Amino acid sequence: MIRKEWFLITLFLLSCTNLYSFSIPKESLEQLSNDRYWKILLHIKNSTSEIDDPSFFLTSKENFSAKNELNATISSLAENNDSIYCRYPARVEWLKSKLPQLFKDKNESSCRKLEETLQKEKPNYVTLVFPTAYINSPASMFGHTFLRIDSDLRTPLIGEAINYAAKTDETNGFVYTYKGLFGGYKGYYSALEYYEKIKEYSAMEQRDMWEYRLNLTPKEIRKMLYHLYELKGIYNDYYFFTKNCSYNLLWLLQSARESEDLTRGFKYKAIPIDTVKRVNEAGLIEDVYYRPSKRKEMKAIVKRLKNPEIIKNFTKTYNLSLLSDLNQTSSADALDLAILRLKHQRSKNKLSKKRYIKNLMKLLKIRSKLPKTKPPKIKTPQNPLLGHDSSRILFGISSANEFNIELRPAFHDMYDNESGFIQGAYIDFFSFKIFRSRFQSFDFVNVTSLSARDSFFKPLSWSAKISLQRVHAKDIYMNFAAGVGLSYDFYGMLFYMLLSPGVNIGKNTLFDISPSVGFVKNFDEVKFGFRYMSRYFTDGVSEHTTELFMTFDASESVAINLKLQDDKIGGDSTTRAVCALFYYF
Amino acid sequence: MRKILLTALALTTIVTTAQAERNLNTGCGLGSMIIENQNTVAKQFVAAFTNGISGNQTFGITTGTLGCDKPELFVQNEKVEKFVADNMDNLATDIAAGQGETLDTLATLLNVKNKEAFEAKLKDNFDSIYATEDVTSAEVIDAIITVAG
Repeated sequence: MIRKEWFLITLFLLSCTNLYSFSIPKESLEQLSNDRYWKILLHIKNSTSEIDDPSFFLTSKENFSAKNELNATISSLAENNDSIYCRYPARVEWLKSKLPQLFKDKNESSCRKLEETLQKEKPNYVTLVFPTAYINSPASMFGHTFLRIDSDLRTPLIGEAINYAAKTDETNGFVYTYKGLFGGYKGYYSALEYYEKIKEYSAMEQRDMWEYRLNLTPKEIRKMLYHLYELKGIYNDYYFFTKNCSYNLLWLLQSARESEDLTRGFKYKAIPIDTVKRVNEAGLIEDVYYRPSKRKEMKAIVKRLKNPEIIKNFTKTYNLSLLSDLNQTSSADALDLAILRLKHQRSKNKLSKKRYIKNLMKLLKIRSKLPKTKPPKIKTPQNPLLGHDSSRILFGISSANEFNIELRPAFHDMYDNESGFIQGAYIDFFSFKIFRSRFQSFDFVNVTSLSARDSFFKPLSWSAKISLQRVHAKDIYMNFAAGVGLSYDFYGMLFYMLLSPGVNIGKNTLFDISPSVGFVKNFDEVKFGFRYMSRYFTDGVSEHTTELFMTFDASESVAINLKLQDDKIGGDSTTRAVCALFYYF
Repeated sequence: MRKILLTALALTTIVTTAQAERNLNTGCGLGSMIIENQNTVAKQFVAAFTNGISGNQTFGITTGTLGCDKPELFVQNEKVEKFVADNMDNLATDIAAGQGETLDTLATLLNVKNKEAFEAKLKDNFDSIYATEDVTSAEVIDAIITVAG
């Protein structure tokens, strides 16, 4: 039925085409339909459009081509079809510059509603915002990106956040993952106040946010918003790895500045930070601003306390007599911490709204009687733009003349320099390893989240892994493992212990339990680490690995990894030194 | 292969990360904030994994002043009304501390010339601005205008 209608509409439009086409030479139409900007507006890559929603087009799916769509758009204009101005403001603007004769006799040739909004909102600046990983969930460690539109740089909070996300009310987790990975959901562009985004990321999820202000001009921003308006309510199939939130923003930026080919590549993965790097390479980034999470703010206040124990006690009991010996500034810090903690607890639904408001008002009233304090000093971490690229090849040679090779499409593991990444958040996908000159493992996914516990936040560390791997240096098994543990930060050194049970399916089924302990310490360009791991199998054999490693950056895309490794399998023990080269791309 | 991978994912979710579905707890008074629901472990992992997928965003979502009273003293300014209504807790916190981005933003929106004096004045009058626990955003705006003169 729908198809039939579309067919009729197309037929109608094609017939209209003939009405006007004598006034526009065929060649120029052909040429125009190959115009770069026209293809950007249609999201055309390799001659097909990436937009999946048929209602975005005037032509039917079967008849779609850049040329037919252009024909249909021009026909619609020639028909004096006024609704087209609000439906395709970006197309109309573009046609105005290319075919001014089309608009000669028209009184009005723009979308009034949209023009009024733009007049009122004055979109002068665009910022690309990158919230980093969710602290204890490296599964979200790829991060996310969205755009923020501001009229005034002094009030970023009320800026408009332009977000691309898949829409779902799915409650079944597995359906959710499956559909999320393989295009089962529809992604839409949406807009929301920036302060709502901050509440979501900075306050609730404790994610740092990086704000990259772009050098787009108000004129370019207008073009982008025209295009965004066309995409209102239009969906694309959402793919977690490729056609995701970050990738789809590139189309918007491209509609602002057509000279840059921002969407090129990204065939197998579009990791948010990689898209930010692309935008940076295109010279669009003008300024960087770091917005620390509430957790960082709390840590910074704790750091300057003279009586941390008393104050920590106060934030839990609200016992004012605890503050009687403190000076006014310390008392103010105590109140600020207690308020931050209270809000965090509420966001985690750990107390009722009624009790929360009661406590909040009580604390705020006391706080208002204490003096204004200096904002806590929060060290800006390394800009994620300067972190290593997400794909890595490793070539290594051991003291016993064996070679190691690893191929890792994404993303970041324990041996990589952590500058620009979240400490302790490791995630690898589809990592292929040759170890001691033969196949060792293929990890479908390997996630480790080492999240340090402190006086306010008590996260669990955890790990999850699915891989094909060699067991007892003999046979290949399919391994599923998941573990939990604890991590602590000690002078910037991250100590951890994990206990991970697993099941191995191969020529027989083996269970194993694997305790591990270790630490990592990252300096600017050098990283050290130690790890001890045992695996006790149900066949009575145990494996033990002890390793000490160091990685240092040799250049932007090359690092050297040195490792001293001892492996014990059953009774056999081997010790080797391994020197490896990491190449990032 | 996909099936294996996904079944495997299902097996490896013995993990307690917390994320997932959120409800937008909105209103005109204090205590309107995004609350996280503690959900099943598996779902949390999965939700974290499929970061960027969300169920509650539409184009131009407005949670703001809908259904809230309008301030009486203040010349109608939708931007200010919405901002205060949506940021009640953060604004109260900033006023009590005498500083902060939410308070700065409000001062800019109100075209305040001497920001420091404005912020100090509000801090001194915290008790009168937030007289009761169920104070509404409209009352807060009116009180701020009265205090700031």
